[in-house]
Amino acid sequence: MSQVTVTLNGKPRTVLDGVSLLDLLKQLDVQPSRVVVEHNREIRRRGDFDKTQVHAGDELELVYFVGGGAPDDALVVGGRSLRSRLIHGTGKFASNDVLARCLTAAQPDMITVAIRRLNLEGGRSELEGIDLRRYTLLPNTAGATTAEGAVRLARLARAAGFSDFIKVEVVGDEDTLLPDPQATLEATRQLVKEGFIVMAYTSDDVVQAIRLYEAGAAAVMPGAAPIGTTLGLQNLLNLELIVSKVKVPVIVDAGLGVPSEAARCLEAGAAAVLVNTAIARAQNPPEMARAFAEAVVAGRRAFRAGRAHIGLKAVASSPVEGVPV
Amino acid sequence: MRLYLITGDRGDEVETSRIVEAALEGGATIIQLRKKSMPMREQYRLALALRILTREHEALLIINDHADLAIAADADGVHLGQDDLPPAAVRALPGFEGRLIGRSTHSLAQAQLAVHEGADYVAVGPVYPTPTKEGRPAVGTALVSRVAGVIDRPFLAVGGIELDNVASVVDAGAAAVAVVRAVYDATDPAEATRRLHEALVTRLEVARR
Repeated sequence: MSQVTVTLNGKPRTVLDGVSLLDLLKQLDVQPSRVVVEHNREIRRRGDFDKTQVHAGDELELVYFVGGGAPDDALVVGGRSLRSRLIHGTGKFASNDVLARCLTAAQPDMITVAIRRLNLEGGRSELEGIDLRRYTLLPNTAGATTAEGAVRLARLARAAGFSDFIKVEVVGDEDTLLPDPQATLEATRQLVKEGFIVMAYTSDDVVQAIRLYEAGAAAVMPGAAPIGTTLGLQNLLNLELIVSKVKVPVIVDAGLGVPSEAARCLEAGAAAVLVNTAIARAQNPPEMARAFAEAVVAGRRAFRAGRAHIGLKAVASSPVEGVPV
Repeated sequence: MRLYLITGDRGDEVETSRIVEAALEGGATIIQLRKKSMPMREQYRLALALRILTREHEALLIINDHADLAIAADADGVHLGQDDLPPAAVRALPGFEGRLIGRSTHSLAQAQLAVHEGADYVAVGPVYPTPTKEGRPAVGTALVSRVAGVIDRPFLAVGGIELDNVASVVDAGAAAVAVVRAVYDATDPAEATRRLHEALVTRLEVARR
């Protein structure tokens, strides 16, 4: 087969003549389920991807689903590639049906599950009707108050067939649910030694974030505000400092309230956000789930684009030259 | 490693420790001390020995029924049957904090209730008839499927599981299994553990495709 030039999302690209859409998507590392393909101005059905051939001069437009982000910009945590930068919680939802609709709206790759649930009254304990195999499950050690307790829950989760991912969460204060720094560090060290992919929940303390990174955490997860408060990002400076010091993904976890705050976190260089209460307790949870999914895409795009410099002197945006006085 | 070994009733402290050590070397990650007829004083010594072995192998030690023994031997948790204390009562015991609670369940309703009551994991079974639980009817793989579809918490399938049927249990939705005879009564418990786990993991890989 010879090489020919096609137009892909408005730019010329060389492909093998007659290559199928399916093979082309594979070469581009795009999951067919994540994309709508317009081929010469016609939408191609997913089932026809393998039969549809691409030839010289064809125009292709790949439209990614919300949450998909740029195809070459996946978030990689512990060797696992995640397309969506929204990690979705599963607690506090009014019903499974509401949760299922939120997951459909937000299209996350990773969802959190508590190994031990704290609030037995308010929470569901079942995920009936939700195909868990579609997601990377992030079990968390919520409910542990000591390093030892967290290690036990992590080992139990792995032994029971959850993945090697573990979100280490050791509560240090029952009122604020803020994490215990020393116990978190101890549990992180031990679980890293045992081969777990540790994602460590921490407050917004910069030095603690550095220590967790040094201890081998695959991701550091500073809280925006105490869990469940929806107070939003309380310390932007610390988030920026953490991002500048920690060489693994920084995932803002806990306390976000509205999508603009999620976007702000991503703009500041956070790799992802974890959202639960802000979606579960919104007036319309599926709509809010989608809004968060859209916000992280916008925030990430803005981060990659690079913000304009801040100036203190006004500069007119409209040209003044040639305008009649 | 998704293999949970429950000790058999036969064997003294030395024999039991030897088998458990072999299973740990074979890769078992959770050991449950279950001795229905051993005097508590001996069980305590055995628990201390198993505590050392499980620590060395970074595995969990769970004690059947006796929360007091779990605390006394600094075990990782206790496994409760349907006729034992409710999980919340055990959780509130002084010295129990931070330890795990498992619950045996024989129906979907029992599994759901155990989760609501605060169990950290549930064991579902007996999947197949087993001399360990004589007289208890097997629930079959159907219950494993029903529980797997509903419970987002660690759960294990248990009861008569061995090399020949582990694939069916995995196909039903289990990601981890607990065994007594298949390892405890094997001539080479380490090798039996390895082979059982290999069969389990291989089948899981197939199921995921």
